[in-house]
Amino acid sequence: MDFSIIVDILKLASVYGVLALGFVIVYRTSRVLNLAQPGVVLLAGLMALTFIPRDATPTRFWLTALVLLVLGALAGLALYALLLRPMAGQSHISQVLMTLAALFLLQAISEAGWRGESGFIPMPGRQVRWEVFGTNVRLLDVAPVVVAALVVVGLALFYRYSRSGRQMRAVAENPALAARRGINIEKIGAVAWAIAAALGVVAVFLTSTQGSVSLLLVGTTLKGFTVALVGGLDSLSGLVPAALLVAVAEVITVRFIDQQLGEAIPYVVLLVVLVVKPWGLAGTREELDRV
Amino acid sequence: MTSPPVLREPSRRRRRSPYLRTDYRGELTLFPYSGPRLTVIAVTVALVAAYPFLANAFWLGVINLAVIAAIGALGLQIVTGMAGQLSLGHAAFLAVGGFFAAGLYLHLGLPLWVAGPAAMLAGATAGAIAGLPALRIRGFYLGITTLAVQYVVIAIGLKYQGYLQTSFGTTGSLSLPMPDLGFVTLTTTTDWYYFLVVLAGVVILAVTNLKRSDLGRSMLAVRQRELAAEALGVNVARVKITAFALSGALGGLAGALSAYYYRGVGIEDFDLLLSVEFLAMIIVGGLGSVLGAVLGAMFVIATPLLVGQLIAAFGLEGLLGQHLRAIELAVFALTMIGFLLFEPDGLAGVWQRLKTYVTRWPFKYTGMSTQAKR
Repeated sequence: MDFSIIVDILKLASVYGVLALGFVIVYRTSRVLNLAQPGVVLLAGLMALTFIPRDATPTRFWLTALVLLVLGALAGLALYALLLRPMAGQSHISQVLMTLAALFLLQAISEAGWRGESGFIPMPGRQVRWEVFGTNVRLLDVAPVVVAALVVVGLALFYRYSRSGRQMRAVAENPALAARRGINIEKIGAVAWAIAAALGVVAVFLTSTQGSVSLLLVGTTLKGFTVALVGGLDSLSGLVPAALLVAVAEVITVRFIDQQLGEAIPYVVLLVVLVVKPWGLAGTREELDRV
Repeated sequence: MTSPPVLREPSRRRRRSPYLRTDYRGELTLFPYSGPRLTVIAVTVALVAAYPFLANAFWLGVINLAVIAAIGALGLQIVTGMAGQLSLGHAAFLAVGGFFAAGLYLHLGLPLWVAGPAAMLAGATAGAIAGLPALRIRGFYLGITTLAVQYVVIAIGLKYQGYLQTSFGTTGSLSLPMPDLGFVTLTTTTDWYYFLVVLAGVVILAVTNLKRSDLGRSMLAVRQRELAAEALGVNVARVKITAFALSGALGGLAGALSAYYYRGVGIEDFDLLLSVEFLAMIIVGGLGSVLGAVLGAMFVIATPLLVGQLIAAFGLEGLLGQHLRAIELAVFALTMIGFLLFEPDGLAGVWQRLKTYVTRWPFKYTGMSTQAKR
């Protein structure tokens, strides 16, 4: 088998995985669909485009990336504090619609500042490539996989061993009980949104190893959303298999069947998986589904 | 033994209050009527009929678009506002209706009065298919499958559009002729206006009746507390699929109408933004209210155009002209946010509060919102 297929699948799975994480983290903590994530990803990409010139040194690149990461986290905090927190107690559908409104606000900002601009973020090490099993493998093909793996492992460790992580798991399981035990739910919610937004920034750097920053990022992020659903909206363990599954389906469709159909394939996978497993591969069954 | 006191009936000469029902017929009427109410209705009808003579061509066109959107929004109101199922793919139903109407004309030469009902059927089928996951999937996952359906429909529509373009040799959007209704052909904006208003009136009556019917009440029950509805004997899956089918039918009708109004269809018009615009219409209008869907549609359609006119009026075109889209998006977003935060019952809620204030004055009456307040 052509090794490049494996490379493509792993790359795509990594990108989808990190994108999906943004949705999963917020849903685990507050049962809210974070539909504002595509806006964060797009805005982060456009800002990276502006502040990282073509001839940027690696130092400048990493510095900008770090700054954007922090800004992203702050943006997530702001979104939570200003828009989501006031909606607490209202129906879930209203909260989701609020995140949708936030998405449009973010799109308005990107439209105002960058007006449909698109381009490639110059990534460091883009010249480096190796020959592996007869295929040209670039450093930038391997990097997303490594970064995604680090992120997933890092978050898993965070959830398991750190105090905040354990508190987040508690809030995810039973917010009322967690509150009675003295956990500050608002702080946990804010932290979740901050992490999700920061992951959005990471994701946009991962996508730019293989594509440009443009309005299409919104569509890509939504595909990451379907991966989150396939894995189970509140499940971290379902995320990796889901990302791989969708990536395999998409790469094979694009390569061997039809390229345009490849755009819709994640959604087809979603439909098929949800019919078989209505809560995703590893999501928890929700009894009180009051939307 | 003394005889029990005889109760005297209230004097009929006293003004009959619409809030005091004295017989079951009063309870069951679709529209409780009284003198003042009938006057209001008559005045409204007169205004609506006279509008084309009062407004200029631009605003007449805006109302036409708003009415088409209102029909689509009423569809979404059924599935999301009444049955409580988040439908993120409503634009797909419009696409189905629009392309079905276009296809019927291009392949078979069928006019609007055939294509319209056919588009409704096609939309209903698509809606039922979109609602099929309701048999297995619950909660938000079901809502997101509608988004999935939207993308699949877009993909199919893209292929179909390509096929139509190659087989009929047209480029860009497919074009349609003036709509033929059998007895009249709609040529001017004013023709369209009267046709659309009458059609919308029928749809509004139908949906209002639906809301008060058995099925409608089942939908509301499913929205409020699905588990309880099921315990009460409501066939939840069937109600959900029916709601989706109805939303698909109205969406398909709106799609066919817009295809003929714009004299063409293009798949790129039926994107996620359109689905969200419809959602915004029912949020701004008020979830679950028929009047809300209509008001919301008017609001969402008219506001961007109003913003554009305001910018031109203030002479800011040079400064802000290139940011028009960003401003539209921002106004859109801020309106949604504002309504979600401060007016969860939407425009219909505002209207309701206004009405109760006026009718119950000088008694102070603060109504109860159906949404939890801070």
